[in-house]
Amino acid sequence: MNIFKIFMESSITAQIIMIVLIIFSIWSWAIFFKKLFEFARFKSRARHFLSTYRLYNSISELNNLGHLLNNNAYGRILRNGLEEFKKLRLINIHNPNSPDAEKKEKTTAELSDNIRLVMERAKISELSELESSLPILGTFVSVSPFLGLLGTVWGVMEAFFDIRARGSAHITIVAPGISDALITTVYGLMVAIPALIFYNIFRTRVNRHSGEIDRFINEVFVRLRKALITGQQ
Amino acid sequence: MNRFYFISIFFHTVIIGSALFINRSNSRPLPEFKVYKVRLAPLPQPKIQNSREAAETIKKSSPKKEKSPPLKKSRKKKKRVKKKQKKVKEKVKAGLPDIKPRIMTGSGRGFTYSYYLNIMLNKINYNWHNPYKGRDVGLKAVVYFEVSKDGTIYDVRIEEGSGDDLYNEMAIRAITSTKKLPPLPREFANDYLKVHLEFLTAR
Repeated sequence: MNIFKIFMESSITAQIIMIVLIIFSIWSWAIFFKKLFEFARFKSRARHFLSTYRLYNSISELNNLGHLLNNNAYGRILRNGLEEFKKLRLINIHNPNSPDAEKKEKTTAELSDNIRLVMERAKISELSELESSLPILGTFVSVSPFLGLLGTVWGVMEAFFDIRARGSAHITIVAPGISDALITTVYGLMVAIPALIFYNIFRTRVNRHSGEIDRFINEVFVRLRKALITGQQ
Repeated sequence: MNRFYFISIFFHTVIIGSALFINRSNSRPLPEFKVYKVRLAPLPQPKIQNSREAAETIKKSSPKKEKSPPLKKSRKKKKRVKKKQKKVKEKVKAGLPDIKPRIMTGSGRGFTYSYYLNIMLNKINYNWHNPYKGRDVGLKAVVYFEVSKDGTIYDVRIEEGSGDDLYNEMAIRAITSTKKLPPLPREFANDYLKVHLEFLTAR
């Protein structure tokens, strides 16, 4: 069984389907390598950021994280939170001894939810970046077996047309057509199975990272809210 | 993104290349196909049976069959053949290493369906046991038979004897024991196919 020989001997329809499937395969593996690289980068940068972030005790120091606030997802989320925090604090600073101080404090507490919302928004954009190209993988998973099946059904149909044309259903006439036809299903499955594995791997990773980011957001939110209400620097 | 595509393409070429390499190193030689020489011989005029008679002979279970005289003959022949065959088998076992017999055929005019001839020859060759296998005997027998539209073989007879009774009987036996062939191609206009099959011993 020579893959190349079977490819050359099969009908034009089967060849087109096989070429499309090979393109799918190359594409899905490219996505796999790309995602593998991206997730590895994400993980290493996140680890670096979190290990340094825990060393900073006050909010004002957090502004000094520098490039760490820009080059990873956690940093970008924190930066968004800090920006919102500054905006909210400005309201308090401009009116430090206003007559209705109690009322102000109340509104500050209410507005502190904004910090959370801003960070949630940043999280969504970060996750969408992580999830990019996963829908393509999902499409390959579902489409390529069907495409292979189409090639097979087409080949079987041709084999039966041959039987009709020759008026004989001997196995020597039918078998080559059907064996050629089955190769497209093999190709389809060879594309779909790795793609499904990649899809599940990355889907799980995205979910895990999403959970971790949620935990981080809560941690930061608690810190910033406390600082906002108590006026701590 | 581009670099990942290159990695992926490289990965695919490596896998396909290794698959090809493994195939090549493991490749077993394909079984050799037997080549049958098909010769369109000038036809001697055979007796052409009416299609009604043919139909009678095809229906083996019908009581009409017993009434028809030619069939009785063929039955007798079969009995004779069976007796002889037992002896022949013993001889062959003791004989020299086999040389495969070459079967040559002359088919009816205008029959261009070589795939059908191939199937027919394969089937007959399966039942053909050369009594002089491996021995230096040069014999040639031509057997005439007809194939009906549904592939039933009938009217089997020796057209050109080899001079050796055993050989003739074995040639007839090869065809009568084939019994059923695939139905004739639909495009073939005639009701039946006349076949003149040459049985040649190989040297």
